[in-house]
Amino acid sequence: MPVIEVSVQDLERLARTRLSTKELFKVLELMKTEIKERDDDKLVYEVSHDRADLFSAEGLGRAIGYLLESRKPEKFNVVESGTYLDISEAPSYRPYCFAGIVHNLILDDEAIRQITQLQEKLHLSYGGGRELVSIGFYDLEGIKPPIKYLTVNEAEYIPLGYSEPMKLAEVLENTEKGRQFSHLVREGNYPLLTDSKGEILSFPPVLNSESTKVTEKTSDVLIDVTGIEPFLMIKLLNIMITSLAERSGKPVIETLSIINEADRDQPFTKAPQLNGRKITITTEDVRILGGIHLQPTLIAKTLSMLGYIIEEMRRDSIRVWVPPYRIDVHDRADLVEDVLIGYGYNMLRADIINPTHAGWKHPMELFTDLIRNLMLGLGFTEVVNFMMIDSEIIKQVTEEEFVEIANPKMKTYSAIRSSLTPSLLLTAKTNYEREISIEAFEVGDVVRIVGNTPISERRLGAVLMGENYTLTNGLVVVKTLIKLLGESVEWVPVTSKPFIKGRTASVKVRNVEIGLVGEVHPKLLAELGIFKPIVITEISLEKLKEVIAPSHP
Amino acid sequence: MKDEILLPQRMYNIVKEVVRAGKVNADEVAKAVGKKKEDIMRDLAELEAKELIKTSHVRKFFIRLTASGINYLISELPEEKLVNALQKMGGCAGMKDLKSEAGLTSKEFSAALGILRKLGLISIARGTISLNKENKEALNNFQKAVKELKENLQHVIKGIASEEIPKWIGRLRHRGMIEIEVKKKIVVEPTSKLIEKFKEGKVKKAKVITKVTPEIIASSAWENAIIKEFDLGVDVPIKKTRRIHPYIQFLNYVREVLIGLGFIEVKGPHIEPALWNFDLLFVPQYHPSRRETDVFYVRNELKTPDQKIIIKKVKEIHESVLKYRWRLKEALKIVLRTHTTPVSLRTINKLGKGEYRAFSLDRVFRPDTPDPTHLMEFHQLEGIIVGEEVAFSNLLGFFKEFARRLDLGKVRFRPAYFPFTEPSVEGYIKHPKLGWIEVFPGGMFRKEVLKPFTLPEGYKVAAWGIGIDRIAMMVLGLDDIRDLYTNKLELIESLPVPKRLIK
Repeated sequence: MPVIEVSVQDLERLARTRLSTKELFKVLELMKTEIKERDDDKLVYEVSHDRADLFSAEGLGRAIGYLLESRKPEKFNVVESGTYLDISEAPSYRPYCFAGIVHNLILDDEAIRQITQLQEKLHLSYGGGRELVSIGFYDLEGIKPPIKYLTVNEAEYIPLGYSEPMKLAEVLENTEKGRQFSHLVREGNYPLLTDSKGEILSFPPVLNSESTKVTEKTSDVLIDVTGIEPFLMIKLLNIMITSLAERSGKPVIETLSIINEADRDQPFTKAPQLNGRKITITTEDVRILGGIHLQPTLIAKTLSMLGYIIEEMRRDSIRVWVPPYRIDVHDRADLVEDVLIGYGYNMLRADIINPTHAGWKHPMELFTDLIRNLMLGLGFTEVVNFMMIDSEIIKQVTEEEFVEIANPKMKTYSAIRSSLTPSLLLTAKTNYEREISIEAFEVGDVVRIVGNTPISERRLGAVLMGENYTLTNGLVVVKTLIKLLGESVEWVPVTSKPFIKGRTASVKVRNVEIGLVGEVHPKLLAELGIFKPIVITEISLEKLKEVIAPSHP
Repeated sequence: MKDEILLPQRMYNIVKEVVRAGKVNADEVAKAVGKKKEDIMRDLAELEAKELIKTSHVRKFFIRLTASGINYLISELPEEKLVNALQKMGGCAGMKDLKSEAGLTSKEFSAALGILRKLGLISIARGTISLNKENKEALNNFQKAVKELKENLQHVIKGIASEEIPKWIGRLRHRGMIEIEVKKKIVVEPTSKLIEKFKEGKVKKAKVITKVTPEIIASSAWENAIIKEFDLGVDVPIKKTRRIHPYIQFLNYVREVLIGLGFIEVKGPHIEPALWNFDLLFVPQYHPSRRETDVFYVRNELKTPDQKIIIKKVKEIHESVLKYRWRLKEALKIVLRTHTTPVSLRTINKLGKGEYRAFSLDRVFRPDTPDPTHLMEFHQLEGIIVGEEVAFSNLLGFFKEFARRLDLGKVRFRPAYFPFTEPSVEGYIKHPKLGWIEVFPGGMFRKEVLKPFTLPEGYKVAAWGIGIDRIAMMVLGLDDIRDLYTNKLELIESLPVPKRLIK
């Protein structure tokens, strides 16, 4: 979840009220945020992914202001700029671009830091690391609209943070951002954002130009989004624009029309889209989903404190305007949640409904318990191992295909065990130094690949390690166990990794092979650094159960 | 046989001596049986409890002359010395001179003065002491008193042993002429029961058995024997234990709690297509929780069952509500399930409409770096409550009831976000060391999540997925999550059963 750093003083300015630490903790809790650090003026909080509008001080300050009623929710002052953004020559692999303008801004160091933070957090959380959406913002002063988003073979400009001009190919090679995002552009088909004079604003999604940099002197800002997901782009542009508008006493937002002469679907003709949406919520919605009956007036007041504007109140329903930055609100359920949050989760009467039916344990867990009890009676201690294991260890015990992880974090957890034997070998190794001998078992799941399909299977595995153990000890355990289940066992000599040839038996019950018993080969023991004989048995509980008590179809 | 009295060898010897001697000192009894007094004290207590002997504690005083007592006896008493000196000095003398002439210590001098003045033999005036020669009666009394005192001293000269201190002793003791030593004695006497039984020959020596053997059991030898008492003060070792894994024990307890609340247990595959792990749960394909840093993807080319209808529905939901280009390829990627919520979905898919509750308690996988509070593989306690009347408040009620049954204390709720539930909640409990910790995430499944399944409109699902390991650590008193998945026998076999599980 995104972690955001803000200044409390800045937050107070935006919320238009003083904020005590106690108040801060209380209101932040209602916004799905958690304070991570509070140090003098610095406030660091973690915010849940859905509340993208709270990824910077602007949105958080605004929300706090509404909640503490030092501010009232208002709609946005949006006008048409009269100019446009031409995307007719956009690259086919990143075909979309939208832009909007915010006027009358008063920016300072903190404001620029916040808008930059917002941009970065949106890139990471929603923009797919700029692949889906890339955001840029520019000082409008030196820019002569209309704006053009086009494809070029090559161009030259001074990238942000540099003093010398560079060719686009050089930007990709010589700058940190260039290297980071070069995979998102195609050589010789570079996306570019220019003004009507051909001045380069940006080489999206890689790097802006130095000449259009936003500074404390900037009063009018152009924001653009480029990418491949137009609806997501519009959402993020809306958040950027409405957040930046918080930095003005009298914000004026201008839309840019989209000109598109290419034969391509284009869901929007202008941007940003700040009309918001209207949703009607009823008292019944709150009762059915939330489990509490609330008066419409209370619902309305709560929603208003959360930034919604009440459009119409009826006896049992309320129509509200949803601000365009609330990209997490899809339908009434989202409004119900906000009503309950405003009312207070801890104020709800939390009743469990009495069960109408009996509960039961999964049959395989019941069978597992049975086997576990018998194994304890046979003098074995139960161990637990991970299903994730080193693929190298699995390869030492089987030739069969097993599930391998494409992006392992550590080699020791690079596959999913297809057998309990590797886990039992690890158990032996763990206890080798400390115990003279061990008798341990595990009942756990493995995943086998059967005909290209992964199948989870419950198994029993037991390990005996000690100077005097031979195959006989393993056979004794299996024979006793099966006898206690009212069945008899038959041994079939087999060869199987990782056991000694001639000291391995397949376990057969009612003519079905359900598992193996074997003495581990000394070669493997020596490799593992274990200088004592080990006998292992592994039995499929699924097969055993099916043999003893066939399930009815 | 019944009225026989069986005694171990030593006790038998003791009663034999007591019967012979009648009333006798414990020291003498000890001597007679060849032991020290301390060694037979326990036996005496036991014999008294059996009403065979009676013991009484007696004090004895040993009175002897002190060195000065002997000295006074063979020469003169201080008062004699004083009278003699006074006569020698002409019947009248100053204090200092007289003391020096008589050769007395200050203590002797003042004692003698006191006695003589009381008798009226001397008088003291302005520091001068004069002898009342005329007072014949006083002289007479003086000589009588001296004689009596000396006779008393004579009496003590050999030493006196007595059960009480004679009255006349007090004066001598006060003047430091004698000393008294007190000795406590235990006197033992046989009871009439003992005397009677002993005469009848019904008091017998018994064998002491230290270990019951098959022969002893079979031969009835135990009838005429005494089985040695164990000293419980001696520490004993711990038995090597074979034990159910404590974590499994806890998980099974959790299962009992859920079953008691009317939940059926369900299971699902560990390996899932992203479709089930994410897309069906309304997690957009661009959501960061699907990144390679947050999910383990499978390298193998694996098949998944044909799911055409569900795929069509998912695509439509994502594209119409979330409005982005949904890609099948992304949905068909195979992952290690990051949560067990797909198991809940599969349960709804299978059971359809109705009032039911189901839980699953199995493993999930996430690429966290293992440390004392994180693992790449851990257990999730997943559950759903399905019905027409199920509301968010009932989910909160479930969390409270679950916490109550596991004795986890108070639960606090905070708003939370999960892509597949709305409203969503995170429940917190108070950890003794860490403060409030999040343990109960859940919410009401969104309608977008239920839409692909055969659950008619109006049915609601309260869902939750508890990371049970944090609670397990708290209950088992472990500080390192890795100890839950331990294969160390020493740790497994030494962990006590958690108090919270004993109701």
